[in-house]
Amino acid sequence: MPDGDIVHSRLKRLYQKPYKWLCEGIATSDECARAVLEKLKQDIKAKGDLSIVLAQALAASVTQIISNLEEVRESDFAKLSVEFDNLVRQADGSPYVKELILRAGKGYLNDLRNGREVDITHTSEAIWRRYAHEVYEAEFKERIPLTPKHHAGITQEILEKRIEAIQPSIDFGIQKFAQNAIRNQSVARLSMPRRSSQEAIDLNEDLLAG
Amino acid sequence: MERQSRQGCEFTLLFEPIMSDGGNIRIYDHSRNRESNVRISIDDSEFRCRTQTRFPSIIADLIDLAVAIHATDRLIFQSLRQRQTQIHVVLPVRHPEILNKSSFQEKLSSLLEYTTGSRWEFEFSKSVDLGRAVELQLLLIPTAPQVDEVALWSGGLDALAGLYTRLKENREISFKLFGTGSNDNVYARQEQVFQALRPSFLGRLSLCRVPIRFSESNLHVKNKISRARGVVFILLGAACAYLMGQKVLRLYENGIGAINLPYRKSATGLDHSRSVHPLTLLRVGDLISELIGEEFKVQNPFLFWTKAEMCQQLSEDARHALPPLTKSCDSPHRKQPSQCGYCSSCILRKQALAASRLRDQTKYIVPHGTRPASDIMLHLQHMLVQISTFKGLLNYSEDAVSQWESLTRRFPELDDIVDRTYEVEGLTPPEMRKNLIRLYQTYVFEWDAVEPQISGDFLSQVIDQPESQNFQIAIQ
Repeated sequence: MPDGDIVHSRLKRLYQKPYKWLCEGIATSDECARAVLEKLKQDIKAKGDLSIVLAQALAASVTQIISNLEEVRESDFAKLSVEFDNLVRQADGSPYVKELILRAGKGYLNDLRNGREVDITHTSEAIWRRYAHEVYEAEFKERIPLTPKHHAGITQEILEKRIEAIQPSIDFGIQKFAQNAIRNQSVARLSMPRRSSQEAIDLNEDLLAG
Repeated sequence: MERQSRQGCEFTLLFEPIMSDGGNIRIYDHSRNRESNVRISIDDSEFRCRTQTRFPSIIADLIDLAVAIHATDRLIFQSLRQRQTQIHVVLPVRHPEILNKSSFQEKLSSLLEYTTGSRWEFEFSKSVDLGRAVELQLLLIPTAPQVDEVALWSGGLDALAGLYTRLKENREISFKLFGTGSNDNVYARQEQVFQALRPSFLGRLSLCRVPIRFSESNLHVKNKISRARGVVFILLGAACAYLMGQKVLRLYENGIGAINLPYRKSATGLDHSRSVHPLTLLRVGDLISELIGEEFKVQNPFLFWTKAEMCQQLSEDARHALPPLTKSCDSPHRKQPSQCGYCSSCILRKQALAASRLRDQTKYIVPHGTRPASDIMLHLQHMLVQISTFKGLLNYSEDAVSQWESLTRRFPELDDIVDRTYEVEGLTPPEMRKNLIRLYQTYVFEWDAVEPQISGDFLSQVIDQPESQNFQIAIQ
């Protein structure tokens, strides 16, 4: 394509462990999802707070232009999209993070435009959540090498199925990250979701009861 | 000098006036505290052949601006992932009062950030020199016959196929083709393709080339990911069009390549060039209009065509010998065959020639040469994943509204293209959406028809792909 494309086909070292776990198939889906979320958390922290600043700036422009979703016109979305471009352009920071947050913002606008998103009261959280999904997809899910044989000899199809199986846990974890990030105004203290497989110990339980 | 006040920028480039014998560029790399000098020249003597008797000084400024962008883009490494590169350019021009206007500066910086990812800041000083020889010559009469269309001429397959289609569709009109660059091989190819085509369309074609050359730059490492190339080409092409009395510059690029959507989500932003993206063309047109004070447009008549559709006319006329003269490769080799056959541009070329039933007489490394050490399947695999994505999105429904919703959910950037360019395309938004849906549908159908043939080229060279763990660790 014009002037050459840059193709990313290798996972960063950061994501090697969850990738190998997914391939080996020994850990449960939940354990694999947690391993991915741990690395995603590290990755998001390394990318810094610019994503929060920008998510809030984009959210403010949505509130400014759209007060009532029922009265919104096509041209409002076009106007907002231009505004998003300007806000992201004016920010200082890594072009990569700026691109990911812009993609998240545009995805949010598309959801609003097509009625998949109807809540404009928690826009900054919604945009930041999409940003975290963009990081997950760009750095892990859609960066896994396209090769017929993966680590431990598993096929692309099996790996894809295992990745699909962890998606609900990833969504849940990202949701939690988003709440933390917006509440704390920082990515420094993102907390992992609780382990779903671990039940709280009931100290009054009669272990001998049949 | 102003180095102290420039600490915030990473690079400052101070240009001397770019005269006929060239001009000096002083480059300050602030973060490394280094200085260097490079010379650059532009041979615009072919602009003597024009229909405008006067050479407007604002057009000379447009040319200088293009040269400055070219030099900066080639000489400064610009990171697409890490810290944003800050570039400060100081350029003497004839009309600083126009180029320093905040509206022009805003358009220029915004365009260059969109196309390169870097932050550009310009300072235009008043040039005290007389200018290059060509702009000083006042012509008594036009020195070139009137032409109807000025188009960019890269020496690539799209340029050839687009021109051929335009020539056949518009049997009366004449064309001025414009080429530039700084590579002798590219010049030779542009000339060769032009000469091969000319006898079939006598009196309807002319070629103008304006080379840009570096000198004393051997010690300077060049930026390989040159993302402003398209902008430079268009700016110089616009100067050519203006001197030929035209207010429109055309370029011929298939819609798939022009829009250049990412193959997978691992690709972001400028991993895929925006050099001829519809929004780039719109922005460059606005910038030139602001500069010259009248409306100027940059148009791609093939935005809704696949590359194979562009080649259809060549195929119908059995012009099989023409495409091998052109080059598409993103990573040309010095040895023969020079086109790799496995980068995305080569693959799209093969796909287009196969789908349009043009005999592909081009020699590529894959499958004609020795198998290279690099992973030859990489781009093909990514392109096929994208085809599969398109299929899933377009098969979601038969209804255009739902198809568009599905397509833009994955690629929201398509909404921007429609929202911002439907008027210049002379369409309503629903019409434009349908055209884009049809473009991607056609592309998918074409791949379905030729995929075994394209993949066959690769399979004949691939013995065993290495296991993923051998090549998956990369530290960026």
